[in-house]
Amino acid sequence: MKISISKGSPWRQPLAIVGISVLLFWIILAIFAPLISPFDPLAQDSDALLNPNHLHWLGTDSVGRDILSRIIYGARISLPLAILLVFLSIIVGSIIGGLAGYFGGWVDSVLMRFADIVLAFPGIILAMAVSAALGPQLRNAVLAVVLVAWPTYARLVRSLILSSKDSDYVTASRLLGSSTRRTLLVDLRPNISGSVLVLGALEAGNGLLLLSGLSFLGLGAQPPSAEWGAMVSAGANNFEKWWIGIFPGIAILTAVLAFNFIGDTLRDALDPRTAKALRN
Amino acid sequence: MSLIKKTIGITASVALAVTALAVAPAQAAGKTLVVDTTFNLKTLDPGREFEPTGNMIDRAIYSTLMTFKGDDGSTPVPDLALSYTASSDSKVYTYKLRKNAVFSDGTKVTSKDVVFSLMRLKNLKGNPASLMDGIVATAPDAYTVVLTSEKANTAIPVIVCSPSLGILNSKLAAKEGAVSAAGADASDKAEIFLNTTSAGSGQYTLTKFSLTTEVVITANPKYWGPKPTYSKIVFRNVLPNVQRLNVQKGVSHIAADLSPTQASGMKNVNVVGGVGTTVWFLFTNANPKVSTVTSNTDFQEAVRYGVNYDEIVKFAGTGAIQAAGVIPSAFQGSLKKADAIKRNVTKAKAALAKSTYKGEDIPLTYWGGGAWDGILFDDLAQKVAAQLKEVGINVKLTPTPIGDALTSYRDGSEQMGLWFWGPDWPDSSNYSENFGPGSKVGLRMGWAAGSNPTVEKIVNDVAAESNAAKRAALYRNFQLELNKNSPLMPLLQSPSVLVAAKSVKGMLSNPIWKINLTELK
Repeated sequence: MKISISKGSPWRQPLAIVGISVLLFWIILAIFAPLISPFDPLAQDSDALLNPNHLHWLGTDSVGRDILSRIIYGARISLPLAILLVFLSIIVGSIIGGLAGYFGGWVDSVLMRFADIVLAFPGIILAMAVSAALGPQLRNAVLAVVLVAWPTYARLVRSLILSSKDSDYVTASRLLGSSTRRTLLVDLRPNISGSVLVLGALEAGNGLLLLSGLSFLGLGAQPPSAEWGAMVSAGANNFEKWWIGIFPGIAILTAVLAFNFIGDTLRDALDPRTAKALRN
Repeated sequence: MSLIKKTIGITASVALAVTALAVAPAQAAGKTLVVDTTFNLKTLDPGREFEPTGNMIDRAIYSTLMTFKGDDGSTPVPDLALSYTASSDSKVYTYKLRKNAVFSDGTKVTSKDVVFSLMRLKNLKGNPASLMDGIVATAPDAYTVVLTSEKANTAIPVIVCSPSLGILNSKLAAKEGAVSAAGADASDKAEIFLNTTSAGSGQYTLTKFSLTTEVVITANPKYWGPKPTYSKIVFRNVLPNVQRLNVQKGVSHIAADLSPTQASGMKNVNVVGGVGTTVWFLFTNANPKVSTVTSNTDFQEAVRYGVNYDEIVKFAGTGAIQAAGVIPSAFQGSLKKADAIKRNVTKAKAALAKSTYKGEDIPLTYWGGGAWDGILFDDLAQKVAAQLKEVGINVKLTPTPIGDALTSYRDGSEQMGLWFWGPDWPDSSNYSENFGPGSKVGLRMGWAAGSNPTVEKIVNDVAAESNAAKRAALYRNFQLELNKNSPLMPLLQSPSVLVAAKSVKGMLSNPIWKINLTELK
């Protein structure tokens, strides 16, 4: 997979630049949080419910913690988890979709019906059920989101495998004595990875939203964690103090948008027709 | 054309007038009151309920022998009983019932129903069963009830006002599986029925019951006393901040759980402040089987002196005070501010160093998402955890839905717990009987009988003491000892504030059922 950033490249489109800039902004904040953050995100040293002011730029929450510091530290939780979610979902979905597409028959039927069952539930409801059953904590919320997200990848991978497994190069590889594992990993994988990556980038935003949603409902990150969804939830408990919920909400919004813009760009870049249209 | 216009005009006017006539009386008769409160509710079966929201609702559904008026919680007034007499040794109480009281199905209320209900409460062995500890109810005739206590019990006149001692229609309840005899804890099957259809003789009957969303009660057409002003009351499970918004928007009539800070600055509403009797406390489980760490007395001491009580009071806002002891400030024998526990970081750290604690996470269980008197459990728990962290104790916050949290609290399995206590009856005996070793809350804290002979002796002494001054002194000693040698740390006493729309008249804050709903105008 080769990504070109020459003139006319999708990566030079305004939305791509915005997406990358915003994501870089959050990544830098996350990496350098201890240096950038004005206060300890867990310290309750200040007065509670302070309006945004020169000392606390985004105000303080109901127990006197600095909201700006919590948002900065929150990036250390939300962003890696969004990427981890996608990574795990891709692995699980690709294995299941790959096996279903390559072997077909009853393996395909069983695995895809299972995927259909998962897809039949509204994502947030299933994630809530799994998270509540496993116990409310961030690790379980991640597992719940992965459980909800993998069928999308499985379906994509299955369809890509189905369309390429009878190609001449695969047949040739088989005739040369390639094992199933080699055929799947060496011959087929490079041809499907681009599409899966695009889907992953687009789904990262959804994963982040779902995870924040679970934390908002008290099923994900637990107090005093500075997770963005949990912070919005605290804002909902004090919504006459608008600053408590709105700033972490903006953080979620920008991160999700950034993932979506990058996903769109990746799709354009990897689709030769779109890339060509943009160049012209 | 003009004739057609006239005809349409006259027809429309007549239709409007008829509609107005039809609607106006219906509105007058169908006045609905919407009460927003954060549900602390497990059941409405009076024999089993012992939660604040249950008290508020059951008080309107079930009549009791005696009751309280308005914001009073100390002078019983007649309800089903017109009067009572007490024996000189405070062991035998005789109640004379009124003869005109009927249940919602029209059946007469007799002493048989009272005995059935009170003995069922006792034999169900549920949470409120302790109210009938050592007490036996008998009925010498159809309109006389005698309560006989094994030992002197001066609290009986106020205990019978508790909504848990609501009187059931014994015939109907028995038909639906209610049992009053010994063994009722295993054989009684009436809870589901009583959470669907009430069987009382109060002003209201139960129409809809949901533990999580809303409860609706409707005026009882057969009620034997004055008709209530509101023909329907809707209780909605709502967090304090939303309660504030709803009552301001006119979506609800009463917000029951606001803090004084939240209530300040609200316009066009009535704000009623009451004497706060809710005491919030923290405990470390004293049962080594639950935790070898929290049961260690040095660890308990580290927690006791590690909490920053001043900060907690400041956080709780206007009107909140530090709970100097477990008995609220308005009650006999309450401690003075000077007697309250004060933070001492050095002492806490020294005690922690002596304890068996090795830096592990200690789970603190509390009602996740819950609130009372405008104070959010989540926020208070985070305050406590941050303060204990300063002395070296790592607290793992464990917010838990109310049903599960109450279960783990009541079965004594929480390593650390954050809870509050509102009086079941407005007397300091409610605290001496529930917070000592081997008592109800004592066992919830893993504090078994025999753990603190000093406290246990005081509890026994105060139960037998009839002199008010001596009782007050004993209550003070009881709390001073708890403040020194117990797994209990009283944190704060929260103020009670009710906010109502201007249209609601006569609202008062009651220490037992929070709002005098049946007396509203």
